[in-house]
Amino acid sequence: MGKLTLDDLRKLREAKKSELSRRNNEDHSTQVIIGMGTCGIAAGAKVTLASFVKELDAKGLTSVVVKQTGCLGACDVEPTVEIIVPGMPTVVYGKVDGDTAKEIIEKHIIGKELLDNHIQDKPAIDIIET
Amino acid sequence: MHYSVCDYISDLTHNSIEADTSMIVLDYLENDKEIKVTITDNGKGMSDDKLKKAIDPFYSDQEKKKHKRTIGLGLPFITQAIEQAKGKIEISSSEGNGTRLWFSFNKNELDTPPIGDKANTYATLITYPGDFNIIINENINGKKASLEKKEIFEALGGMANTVEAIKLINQFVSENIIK
Repeated sequence: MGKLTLDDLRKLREAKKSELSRRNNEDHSTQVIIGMGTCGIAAGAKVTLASFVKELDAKGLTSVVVKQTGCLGACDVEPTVEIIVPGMPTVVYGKVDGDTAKEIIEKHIIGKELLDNHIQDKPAIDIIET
Repeated sequence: MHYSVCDYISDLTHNSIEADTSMIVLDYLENDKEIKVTITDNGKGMSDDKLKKAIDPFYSDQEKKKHKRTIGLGLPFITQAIEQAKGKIEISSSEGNGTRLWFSFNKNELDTPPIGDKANTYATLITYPGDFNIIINENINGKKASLEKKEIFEALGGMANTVEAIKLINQFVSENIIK
């Protein structure tokens, strides 16, 4: 099988038009936001991001939005990930490696249960917006 | 310091994104002797004074940052790595005219960091949020390849923000860069 081309991407988009239209009406309010500042990169946040994408795809959770952002302010516990799920408190988790990413998907996003041992309290004082 | 050359690429390209850039060109050159990375942007640029301060870890350009950070480690990290590995670095910038940064490592130098995962790095940059375009040019021992975020997003259309699209972008990048 040849490598993926831009034409292949266009064809895939066309093939999925009706499914996309359905998805645009789905709730996209569940978000996974991964800190990709200098500290996050140094701690392996790119691997964390790849793990979330792989696992969400494997579980068919196509309506979850995965985003990158800059430093979330908890540099000593990177990689950090903010999880927003409707009906639950917004949580910043710390020390999120690939395995923890899977746990967050299973317990928090699907099971609606917080991972107590990874929750971070609040950002560093110097970055709290005044 | 960062672990790999790719980590420095990610970090320094984020500086360009945060400088209100609309276009970034990332050139990756590798041969038997050296690895050279050039990042050019058309962002807000830096005055001579800011450029001198930029390699200070206790200086951060806070003007448009979401949080009021007082440290900025990206440039100090690469400067330190270059010094330790006897590499080279040059930054040129002027206010309103963007910034051009290049750094190079000697491949035969023991302290040169490993290259890292280029496919993952490029895909992560392409999917980083923001209204910017990025063109990534590779030249490895004379073999060339090029990726452009705008072309990829136009091909994916409405899919571009989905988990499935990120997975496709990862696959596209992995298959279209030089191994």
